[in-house]
Amino acid sequence: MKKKLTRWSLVLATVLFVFAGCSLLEDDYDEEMIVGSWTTSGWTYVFNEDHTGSRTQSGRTQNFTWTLDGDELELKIEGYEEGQTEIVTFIVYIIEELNETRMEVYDSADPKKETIVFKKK
Amino acid sequence: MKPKLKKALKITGISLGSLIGFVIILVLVVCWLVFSSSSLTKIAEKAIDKYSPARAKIDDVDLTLVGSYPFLGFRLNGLVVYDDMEASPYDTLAAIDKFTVTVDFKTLYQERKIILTNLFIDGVYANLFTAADGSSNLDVFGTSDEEEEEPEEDDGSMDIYADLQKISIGGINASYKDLASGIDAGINGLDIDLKGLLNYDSLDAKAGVKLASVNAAIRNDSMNVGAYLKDISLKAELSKYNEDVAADVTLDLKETQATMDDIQACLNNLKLVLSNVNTTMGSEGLGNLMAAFRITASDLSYSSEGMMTQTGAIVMKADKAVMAGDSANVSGFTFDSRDISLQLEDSVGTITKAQIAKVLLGLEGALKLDLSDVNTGLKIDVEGTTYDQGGEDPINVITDQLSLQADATIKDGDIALNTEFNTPSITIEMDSDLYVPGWSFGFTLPLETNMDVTRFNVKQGANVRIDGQQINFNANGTLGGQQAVAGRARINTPRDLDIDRLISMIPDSFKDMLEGIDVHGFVGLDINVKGAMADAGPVLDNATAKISLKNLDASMNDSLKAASGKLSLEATYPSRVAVDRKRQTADVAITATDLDLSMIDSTTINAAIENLNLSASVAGLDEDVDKMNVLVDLRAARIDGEMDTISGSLSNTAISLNMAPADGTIAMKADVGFDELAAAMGSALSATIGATKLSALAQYDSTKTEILNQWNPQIKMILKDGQVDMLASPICLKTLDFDFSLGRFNINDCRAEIDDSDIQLWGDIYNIGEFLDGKGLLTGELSLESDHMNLNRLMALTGDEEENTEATEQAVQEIEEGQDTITTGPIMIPKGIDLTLYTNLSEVEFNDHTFNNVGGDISIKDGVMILQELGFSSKAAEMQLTAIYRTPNVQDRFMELDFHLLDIEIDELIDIVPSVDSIMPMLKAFSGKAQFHFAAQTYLEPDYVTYGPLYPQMFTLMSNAVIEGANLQVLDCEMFDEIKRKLLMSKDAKPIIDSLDVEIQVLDGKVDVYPTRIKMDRYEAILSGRHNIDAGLNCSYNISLVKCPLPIRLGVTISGPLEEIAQFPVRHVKVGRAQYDKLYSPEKGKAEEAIMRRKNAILEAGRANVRPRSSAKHVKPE
Repeated sequence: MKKKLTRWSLVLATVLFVFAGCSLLEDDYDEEMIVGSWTTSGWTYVFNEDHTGSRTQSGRTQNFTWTLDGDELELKIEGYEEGQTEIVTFIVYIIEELNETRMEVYDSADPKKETIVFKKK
Repeated sequence: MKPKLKKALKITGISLGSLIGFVIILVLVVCWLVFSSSSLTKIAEKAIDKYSPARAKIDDVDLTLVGSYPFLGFRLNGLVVYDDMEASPYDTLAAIDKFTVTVDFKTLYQERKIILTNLFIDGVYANLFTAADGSSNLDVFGTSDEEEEEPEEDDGSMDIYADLQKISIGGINASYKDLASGIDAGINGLDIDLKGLLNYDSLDAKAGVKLASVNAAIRNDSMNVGAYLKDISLKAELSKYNEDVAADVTLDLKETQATMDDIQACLNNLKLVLSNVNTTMGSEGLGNLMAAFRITASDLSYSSEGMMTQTGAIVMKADKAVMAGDSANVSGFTFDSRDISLQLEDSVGTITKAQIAKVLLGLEGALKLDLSDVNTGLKIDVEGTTYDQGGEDPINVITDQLSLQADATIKDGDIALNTEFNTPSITIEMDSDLYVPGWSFGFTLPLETNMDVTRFNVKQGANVRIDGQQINFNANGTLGGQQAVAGRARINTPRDLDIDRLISMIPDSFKDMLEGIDVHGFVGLDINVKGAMADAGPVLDNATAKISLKNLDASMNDSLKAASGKLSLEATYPSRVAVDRKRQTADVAITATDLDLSMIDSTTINAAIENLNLSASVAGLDEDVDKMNVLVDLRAARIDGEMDTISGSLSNTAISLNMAPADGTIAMKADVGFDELAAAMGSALSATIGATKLSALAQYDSTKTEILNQWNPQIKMILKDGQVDMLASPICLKTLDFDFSLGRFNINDCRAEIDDSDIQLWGDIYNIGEFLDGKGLLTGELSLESDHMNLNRLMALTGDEEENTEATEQAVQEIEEGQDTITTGPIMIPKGIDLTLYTNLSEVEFNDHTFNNVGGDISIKDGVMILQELGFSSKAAEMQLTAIYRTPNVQDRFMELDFHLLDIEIDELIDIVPSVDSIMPMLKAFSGKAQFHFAAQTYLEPDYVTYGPLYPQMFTLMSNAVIEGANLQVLDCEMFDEIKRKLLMSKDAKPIIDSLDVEIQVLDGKVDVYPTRIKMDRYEAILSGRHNIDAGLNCSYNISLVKCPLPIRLGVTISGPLEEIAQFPVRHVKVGRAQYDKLYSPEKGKAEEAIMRRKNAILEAGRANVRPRSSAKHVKPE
């Protein structure tokens, strides 16, 4: 009975994992590893501890708030300070690798899931 | 008679005759005994010995009838007075060859009166000598120092009278030498004939004098003079009765010479005739004298060191000359001289010659000797005058004829002189330059003055005439005193002067001053001046000047030209308008029937003015410009101007300008008005303006830098019926009414029409001055309204699309080739400005759409332009647009759009906003009503040269778009058909989407369509995807069937460049697993929740940007 129960528990867990996209298989990354300045693709990202941040390229700065849920790093970029209209855009990166100097991600909306490399400044 | 008687008588007669004869013989014997030569000689010798102080002798004395018949004369022969002075070179002091006097014996016998009837002297010699020590051979007769003997009293002896029938003295020769003074004189061959009665109180005589020669000289250390006369003949008839004296005198002098040092004068063949001489001679002396005279000479010469003159025949006469008391009168006086020549030579050898062929002088007049009363008329005619001055600067003057007439009167201390001078031709050459080429010349001078010349009056009629040109002048005033000259003067031209002739009068050597200047026409002058010349300089009391020009054609260096049919300039000092006694004032007025001006340089500027009237009054002529008061009034019937292809004309222009100092600066007030202004720039632009009035005030402040601030203008303008033709349709400016000052620019009303569009603008702008100074904010509110605006026509008027495209392509090509041809840069919003434009366009046509109530607020504030809540309504939708355009600098330009279309048909959305199609091309598949929200922010590409001024800097572009729709019909297109077949939908399924909400974001050059549910029939699909905003528009869209009758959860992905997808759709379609199938189900997971959260955030943001329309309306002027 017990053995059968254990077997069905494993099956159930597997099924749940496959069909529910259980986050048990997702990687959890440390937010503190993200805090700091990163460069990628011409942008310079700054992640602050208070989950605010900014990215700058060629003197253009966009402010955002960021959250990290597992391996999903969401940046909510709102409009420029110069504007008065409310604009909300999101970038959702899926972290593939994160260490003190390097972070590899891909854009969740990118069908090709091309890797984007962030390098710590 | 009886013979006895005859015989008796005969005997008596013979006896008586014999007796008489005896007596006569006896008398003769007695006389002979008494009056024989020897007797008389002895008597005379005794008398001489007794009475003569000098040694003398006499040959004999006798009675004679020779030469004295019928009178018996006593003749003294051979009287000699010896000169015993040792120093004298003469032996004889005096001698008389013969001295004969006749006596009236009857009177002598009867009345005991000795009446001399004739006196004959022949051969008189006298030699007078004074030695160097002053002693003279006349000293023997006693000097003047000796006391004169008292005249003997009348002892009752017989009186001696003269009833001279004849006095004849011939052969007088006398000499006088004075060694002390150097005098050496003598007369030779003097013959004197006199006849007449000579008495105390009566004289009736004829005289004749002939003199062979007279010579006299004084030569000593201080003087060297000499004179020589030859062949002198004098005839005179004299009569004196009581005090009345009459005479006729004729003097002939063949040759006269005089010398003094190196001066020598000669006069030949002189004849003086005094006729009808009448005077009185009484105890008071000579009385009134009246005579006629005539003097002629064959020639006169005079020479001295450096000077030589000679004349030909000279005739001088007077019909009547009267000297009465203190007055003199002459009539018929003429002086005629021929062939006069004068030659002067100065110390350096310069010779000056003058020659006159003929001089005729006439004089009539009367005067008092003290010149207290004068009335004379003088006329001089000169013919054939030449003047030559040699030297380094030779002068040559030639005139054929000169005439001078002068009438002078002096009365009661006043002098009046009328002078007229004329010459028909005068030629003056100086230094080989012809200064006067045979012009006629003359002047008339009526002059009044007083004896001490302290006042003068040049009367009306005075003029100068040169070569047919006449200038009149007159003047009066005072001379001397505190002011050297004071008075008034006038110069005017009775007839206009020919400028060509005036210029021809300028000597060639001075014509260089006119180099480049060419003037033709006629000029008239009328100048009046009143003032004085003081020690400190000229003092002007008042003056008027009028210069009138006719047919003027002037040019300078072929670059400045002026022409006028009739132009006059008047100046008045002091001003009659700007009256101010403490300041220098003046008026100037210019009138012209027509005036053409041209300035030719690299650009030619022409101006033509008709009926010009300009008047100006100035106060403070001698002050700085900023202290002057100036009044200007200009009126012109027409003003035309032209510069290259730019031209303009004004009709009935009136300009008045008042400039005055104010608070240490210049203040100006101007009023401008005209009936019409027409201007054109080539064929591209033309404008006309109707009746216009403009008033302006300005005050100059030199402390300011910007010109508007320097002048602080205040302008009020009202303009009607303006039109500008530079587009296909004219721009009609119906009304323009504004008040402008640096503090406030108030547009009271401005109405314009372009084609079928109309615009009305009004409002205020403040603080223009402070803004220009950089010290203040330019603020203002303007309102723009229109009843109808046709944007299609307005855009077409600027050129068709094809032309614009070609122009853009050409510009890009030139840029790629490295040619910098961009002439327009990005629009930069200036800082320091806070302006708001309220717009309200009732009806706007655009494309095939008509929009109503298009309006909103456009504001410019500190480098930012904001289109606030610009909205409109149409049958297709209600629109709201807010836009921001910031330009802190060219590199950091920023733009924001917030656009909403409410209740719009999607296909009309794409039609209205075509750019939506490029951002969301999938929308073409839909039709129906929807809500559309669009917000975008971006920086603009700094490289506007390559990309254009409004191209987004792509990596900065971020945008949201939200489409909410219900009952949307999917357009029937090939792509949908392919999808429909793939999804095995029924053939008759209607492509109606029950509801639709699309959230789209643009970021990093990518357009992300968030998963959007499409419910159609029994099917439910999720549409999502991404495409890149690049040339190829690479995209990847997924439609996942999440609900269908079959247990199939499939998704179709379409990816690749859009163009290829459209051409080969199948190649770019992949079927796979359905995505986002739990997005709208309760079983959604964390990821789906996150997606929905994001969608909702975007939707809420879009909805939140919708603002209520402002209901405020701005009252427009009527």
